[in-house]
Formats: sequence, C-alpha cells, structure tokens
Amino acid sequence: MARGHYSRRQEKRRSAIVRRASVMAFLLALIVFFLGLNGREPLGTVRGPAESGAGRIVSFVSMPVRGAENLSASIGRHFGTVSENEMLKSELTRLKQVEAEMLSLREQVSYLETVLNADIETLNTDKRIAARAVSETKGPFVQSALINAGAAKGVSDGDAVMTVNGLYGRVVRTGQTASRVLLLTDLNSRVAVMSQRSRGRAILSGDNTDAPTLEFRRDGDWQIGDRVVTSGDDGTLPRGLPIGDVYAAGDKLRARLLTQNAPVDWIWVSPFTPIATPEADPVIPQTAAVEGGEAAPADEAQP
Amino acid sequence: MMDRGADNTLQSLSVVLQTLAFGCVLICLSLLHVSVGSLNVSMMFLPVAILFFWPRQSRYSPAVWSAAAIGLLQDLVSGGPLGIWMLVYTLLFILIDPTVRRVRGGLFSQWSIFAFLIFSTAVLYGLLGRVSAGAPPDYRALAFNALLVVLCFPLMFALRLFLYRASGRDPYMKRGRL
Repeated sequence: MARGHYSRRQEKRRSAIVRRASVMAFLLALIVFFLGLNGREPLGTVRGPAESGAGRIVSFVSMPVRGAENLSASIGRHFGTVSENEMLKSELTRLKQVEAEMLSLREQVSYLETVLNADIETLNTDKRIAARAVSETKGPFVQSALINAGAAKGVSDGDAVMTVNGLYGRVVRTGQTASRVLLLTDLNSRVAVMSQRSRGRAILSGDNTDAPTLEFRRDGDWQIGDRVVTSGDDGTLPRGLPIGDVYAAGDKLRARLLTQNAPVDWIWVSPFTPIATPEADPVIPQTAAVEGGEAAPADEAQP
Repeated sequence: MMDRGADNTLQSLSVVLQTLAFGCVLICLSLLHVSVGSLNVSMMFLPVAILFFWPRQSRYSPAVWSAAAIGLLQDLVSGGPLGIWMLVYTLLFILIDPTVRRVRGGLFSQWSIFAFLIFSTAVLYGLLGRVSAGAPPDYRALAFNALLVVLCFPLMFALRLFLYRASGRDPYMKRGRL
C-alpha cells in the first residue's frame, strides 16, 4: 500500500517535470522563432562563428564528394572531346577577330579617358580571393552557399562572388574563416542589371527558381537572347559582371544564369569599394588665406 | 542506492551528450550537397533521424533541451530564417516521443513511421517557413529533400543496429527515469 502510494507520488512528480521541461523548451523555441521573423538576426554574433566552424568541417568532409563530382564531369567531357575540339577551333578563329577588335577598342577607350579625364568604374581585378563553395543550400526558403574564406582573408559583406562563368552571388555574412553567400536565385536577392546590347536597366529578382526574373524594366529595350550584366547602379556591385542570357517564360522575362550549367566548386571573391556618397565623404574645408599671403593654421581656419 | 542513482544520472547524461554529438555530425552531413548536372541534391531533413532514434536510456528533460539545441544549431549553420528548425524539432520531440518509445518491430514498420515523421517535419517546416520568410516554399525542393532522407532510412537503421550490437547493447532497452 505504502509502496503504491510512493510510486504514485513518484509518477506525479515525473509527469510534472516532463510537462515543465516540454513547456519551457517549447516557449524558448517560440521566442527564438518570433525574434527571427522578417529576416531579423537576434543571434547574429553567434551565427558567424558557427558558420565558420561548420565551414571548416564541411570543407573537409566534402572533399570526396567534390572529387567524385569533378571525376564525373571530366568523364562526361572525355566522351565529347572530338566534337568539342572542332567547335573550339572555329571558336578560336572567331575569337582572334574579337581580340583584334577588343585591342583596338581598348586603345580608343584609353585615349578617351585621357582626353575627357573620365574615371570609368570597372571591376578592380587586382585583388581576387580564391575560395571553395563547401556547402550550397538550395532549400525551400533559402538559396545560399557557404565558402571557406572569411574576414581573415579580406572578405567583407557585400563583395561580389564569381565563378569562371559569371556572377554567383554576393557575401551577406562574414565570419573569420567562412562566409555566407546569397545566390542570385534566392528570394531576397535583388541586383541592378542592364542589357549589354541596349543598356536598358532592370532589377534581377530571385524567386527561388533556377532563373531569376527581370523586373522594373519599364520601357527599357530588352530582347530575348540579350546578355545580362550588372549595371552598378545599386552601388553595391561593380559594373559589367556577366550574369546570364534573357529568355521569355510566359509573360515574364527571365535570366538563364551562366553559373547554372556547371557544378560550383572554386569561386573567387572580388572586393569592391563603391563610390562614396557626398555625406559619407565630405569635403574638408580648405585653410583660408590670410592677409599678406600667409596660410592660417588648420585649427584657426573658418568654415 | 544513491550510488546506483548517480550512475544512472551519469549514464543518462552521457547518452544525451553522445546523441548531441551524433546530431552535430548529421547537421554537418545535411550541409553537404552534390551537383548532378543542374540538379543540386542535399539532405536537409537528415538530422530528424536523431529524434527518431533517440536512445531510450536518456532522461526526458535533457533530451527535450537537446532536441531544441540541435534545431538551434541547424538554424545557425543552415543560413535559413532563424528559429524554424528549433521550433520544429522541439515540437516534434514533444509530440512523437511517447509514440517512438513504443515503436517495436522490424525495418518496414519503423520505415513507415519514419516516413510519416519526415512528412510531418516537411509540412511543419513549410508552414513555419512561410510565416517567417513571408513567401511560399519551393515545394519541389521540399519534397525532393524529404524523399531522399526517407530513402536513406535502411542505411541508418542498419548502421544503428550495427553500433548497438558492436557495443553489446539492446536497442529496445527501456527508457530510464527522468
């Protein structure tokens, strides 16, 4: 009898602990969920180190997978070697003409830059940070990649991330040894672009599909087959980075990405310093000339 | 008697810590992706297996907090909206733990329950993600990821059985006290 009473008490106590633990864990999870609504980052300081740690582990674990991918791709390429060789020969002939034209144009541009004293904004190719995409998440809500280069190598938020084919995305979060790249296809990705042919402007808007849409085209001259490049109008990415080609999907124009057809392994990050706004880069008042032609000390100068 | 209790507590905590470590391994594996042509394959639902295979020797209170911790870790490293996995795992653990405790039987009965669990996770994740991200999920990616993890179940089942047998334990041992 006493034993039964004791075990009933034990059982009650056990149930109370189970209930309490469940309710508290659930409430904490609910709080974190609500804090993270609308893209807020309540644990932003923890996320960078966590991603850096995961990046190190995944870059090590993914080596066999990347090796297998590369092997499979090289076997595929091996079968089409003869036809590819023929195609490359004809392409080489065409490119020789293009190169000659390019050299001529470069001289003209250089001359015009000198004559007009113009500073044409281009991608600074002096610094490129090579890295590997160790994890690519193409989930139901987010399309991003983890790369194994971070602030320690000079990567910073907003930098453009390229593959050999074209623009892959841009850095949205930087840890010490890893960074998170928002892909162009992600729902939150917006990039100012233009048609290389007509210079017509648009916004390339990701919608979690393989081909982002071209929005806010207004009456810009866009045609199917146009090459889409960054316009640099947003001040966050340099101008002229290749992105893809335009095609029609229903009543929308979409961009078929250049990075879509090949597995992404090696990438490079291109640090970019945008043009500063006048407010961010104000003119420092010049020292006023005093009578007698002597310059006043800086601390005595009037604004 | 007290010594025995302390042993149980230590053993239970050790089991929870081991499970947490396995959870971290599964999270890292879920971050891996394989590109086959234009198809990108990853297994984001893989850590759900840890909820299904949660050791019966572990105590409930640390176990439910561990489930929440695994969810939070996956939230942090997956780059998605924060809090979704934590809420999904905590909720699932609370709801399924009594059922999973009673699960006996062979591969196929456990496989069907696991498939149902993954389906529930996908639905819950889709709903919460829709609230958090403010946009409908990519249903194709959701279904494909879920299907892939369900297909991997026999491998995980065999691995677990192998580990239990190698350590001379019974996978259907009764769960310890709280």
